[in-house]
Amino acid sequence: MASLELKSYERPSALALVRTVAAIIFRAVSLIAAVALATGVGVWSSRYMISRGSPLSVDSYGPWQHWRALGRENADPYSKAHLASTGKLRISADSAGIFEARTDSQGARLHSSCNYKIDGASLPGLWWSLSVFDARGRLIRNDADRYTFTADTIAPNPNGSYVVTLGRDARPGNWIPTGGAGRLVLVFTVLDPANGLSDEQRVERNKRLPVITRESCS
Amino acid sequence: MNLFKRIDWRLLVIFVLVAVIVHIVATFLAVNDQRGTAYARLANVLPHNTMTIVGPVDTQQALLPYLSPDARYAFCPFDTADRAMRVHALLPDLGWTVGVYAPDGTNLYFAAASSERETTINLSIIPADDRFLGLSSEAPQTGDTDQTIAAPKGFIVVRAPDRGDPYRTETQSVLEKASCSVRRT
Repeated sequence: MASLELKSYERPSALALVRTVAAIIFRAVSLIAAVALATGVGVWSSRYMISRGSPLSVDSYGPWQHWRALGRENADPYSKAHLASTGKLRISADSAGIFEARTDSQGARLHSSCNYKIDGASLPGLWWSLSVFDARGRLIRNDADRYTFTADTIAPNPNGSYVVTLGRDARPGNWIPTGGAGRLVLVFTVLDPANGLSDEQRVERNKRLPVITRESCS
Repeated sequence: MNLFKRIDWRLLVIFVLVAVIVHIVATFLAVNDQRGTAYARLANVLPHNTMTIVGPVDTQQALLPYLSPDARYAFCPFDTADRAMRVHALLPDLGWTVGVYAPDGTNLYFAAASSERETTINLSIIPADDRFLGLSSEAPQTGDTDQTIAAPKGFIVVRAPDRGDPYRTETQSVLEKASCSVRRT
């Protein structure tokens, strides 16, 4: 006659129960933390790519950044969101080159505690301007009421090139006061001529953007 | 190898998926949030369907962030709900421009002055797309032109380069000739 062995039900020990509950709680917390972190990363990366750009929407030429589709009807969502969130008025990239710099040519942040020299090459037949703002897009208050230089108002060198200096203390020549502003943003605008620019001419224009050199900091 | 075993791949996939979805949603929400656009800011403070010459851009008067102080500006927020707009502007010299923008900042029309001769711009802005007669921002931008574009809302910007004190009166008088007015259809 066959024998039948029956195992009696063993109640899990208290320790095993605690381990199981702890594992469930750990998994739930991990999931919540991962979702929360992912939400943060998603929002932050979106905001960063909208405000500062990325290679998807921005071309970089040294310190100068150019939103390549800004103002175009077929602009990418980042460019559209950039215009919508900043309130900027920008001429379409089809009609002008608008370049922004937040760093010098060595990659250090532009700041009003430093003096800068900006060397620009001549751009024959093109109208351009170079303006300085604080990090929120406001002009920097100064007694000289000087915020910008243009192809019309600059004092150029004999060969057509020019030098602009930024700094707190007055200097001879093309000086823009920047004292007390904190972080700085330079905007260099070059209008296309009435009959437009060819792709080769745009490449040439982009090679001739000003060089920003930090001289000293206080 | 041990490290790979310890990674919770399901959690990692969830993390990446959620981050991508949130990124896309946040970007499109920002595209559709029109409260801070240049149009919204201008339409709140300037009369509609009238060309308004604003004062020189300085620390006290900056209607828009990053508005370059290298120029004087005339703005005309427009609404072509049931009528057409007529826009007229003179562009006498290099640096003068006229642009028509949609509320989201899209450049619908742009013309820059030629260094060789004065350009007169005569533009009609009509409300309905089906009456669009052809012109894009990539269209030729020269000559004394009479052109038509379709846009239900937006703003017109005439930009006059600031060439310094000796030229301000002359600049002002040319800028005053710019106009935008309602034309009954």
